[in-house]
This record gives sequence, structure tokens and C-alpha cells, in this order.
Amino acid sequence: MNEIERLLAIEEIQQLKAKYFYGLDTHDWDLWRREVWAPEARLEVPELGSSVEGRDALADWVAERSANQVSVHHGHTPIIELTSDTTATGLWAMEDRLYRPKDHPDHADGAFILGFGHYRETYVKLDVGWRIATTLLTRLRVTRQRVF
Amino acid sequence: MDATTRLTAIEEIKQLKARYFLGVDTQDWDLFRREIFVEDTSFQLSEFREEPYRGMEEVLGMFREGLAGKYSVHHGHMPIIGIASDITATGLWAMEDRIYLADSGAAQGTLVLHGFGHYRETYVRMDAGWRIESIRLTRLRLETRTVAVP
Repeated sequence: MNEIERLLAIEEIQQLKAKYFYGLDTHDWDLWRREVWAPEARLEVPELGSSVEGRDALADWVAERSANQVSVHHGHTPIIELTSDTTATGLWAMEDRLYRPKDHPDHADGAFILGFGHYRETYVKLDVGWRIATTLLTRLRVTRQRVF
Repeated sequence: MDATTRLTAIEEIKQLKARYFLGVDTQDWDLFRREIFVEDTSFQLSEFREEPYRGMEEVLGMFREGLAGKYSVHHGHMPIIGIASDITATGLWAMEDRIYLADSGAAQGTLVLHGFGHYRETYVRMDAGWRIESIRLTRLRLETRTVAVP
């Protein structure tokens, strides 16, 4: 892989992550299935004790937790490393806002949750392009406010 | 289109959007006219008006009027830029903005509108470089609160 091919792969992976955020915040789970995740993808969120495997199971799990919730996710300052022509790793800083109504199962103490953390990911290049293979989400800090 | 041309176009469009944000927040409408919009541009702000603002003068008028006496801070994130041809492209940006209403009349401090949403855009390459042809802005969420400003 030459320098230009490497740069193009990095750009494509950044846009892949942008589609992840766009699908998540607009609840476009079809986009997730079509253009974001590899079929054998895995999502891990240790703070929830969760590890979900398989694209469909993962999309269903996130869709269920996102129903009835408005979310805003932003990614920053990616560190993308190509480990071969068809594999890569990524680390993204993340800021998210979750707005939940009172009847949401995870409403807990606050309806507005502001979080900051990191995604540690691996990517794989399939015939259809780059897809997320694994994601591990950890948070540095979470604040909760009662706004409703 | 080869990889270098594609990457250069993507970078130029990201910098075009950066100038857009600089122009909005410094209210530099000449910069908009010179370096950002095509003459027959359009801007759709569905939450206020379904019908897009059309043409340079109407779009600049909307900005001038909308931001008069206010301070704004706009950030763009996570661009998805699709290069459709040598001279056309599409973009999708996540957006966060804060608008401080200087004369909001709030009893204590200044009212701030803190919003989150997306820009869906088209671009066209002119002799002078890439320009914004159309923008549609939608919001996911708008928070309103009062802050103290020294």
C-alpha cells in the first residue's frame, strides 16, 4: 500500500465512523446494517456489562436501547492505523448526549446524560468497502441532569 | 478520478466548510459572497420555514437578520463527503451550535440556544474552486438556558 492508498483508506474509515454516528443519531438501522458493520461485528460496553455479537443482534440491541431517546454523538481526533491492506485499528474521542423521557428503562436519576469517552475499534475491508469489525466503548466521565 | 484527485477534493471541501463556519461566527458576509456560496445557492432551514431561501442575496439576508445583535459559535464534525464527479459533490456534517441572544431581556444573564443537528449539502466546483450549492439544516435537539456573561 503506497502513501496515497493509505491516506484514502484513512479517509474512508473516518467516513465509515461518520456513518456510524449518523445512523445512531437518526435511528437509521438499515444504514447500519448496509454500510457500517461487518457481518460478524462485536460491540462491547463494559460499563453496561454488555458484549453483543453479530451485525443483526447488535443493531437490534442498540435500536432497542435507542427507542424513545434522542441522542447526539460526536467523534473527534481519530488515530487510524492500517495494519494490512484489509485491516485497520482506530481510536476516537467521543462526546455524547442522551435525552430520555421519564418512562425510559434507563431514565434512572436524570433525563439528560452527558458523557465523554473513547472508542477503540478494528476495521476490515470487505468487497463492499471498509466496515467496523469490533468496537469497545469506555467512558471517562458521565454527568446526569434532571431536565424534564 | 484517481485517489490523489479524490483526496484533494475532499480536503478542499472540508476547508470550504471551515470557511463557512468562520464566516458565520465572525459575520463576514463578504467572505460568504467571495469564497463560499455560488450565486444561485439555496438554504433550507426547515424548523423555521419549509421553503428554502434562494439566491445569494436572500441567503445572506437570512444570516444578517437572524444573527443581528447575537453571538454564534458553530462547530462541524464527522463529515461524509462524496465526490460525485470532477465538479460535483455531496456532504453530510454533524453540527453543534450556540447562539447567545445579547438582548434577550432575560432577568439574569444571557439566553443561549444550544443546538445539535446535521447539514446535508451539495457542492459544485467553479473556476475559482469548490463552492456550496445547497444546504439543508435539520436539528436533533435544541437546549435553551441562561448563562452569566461577564
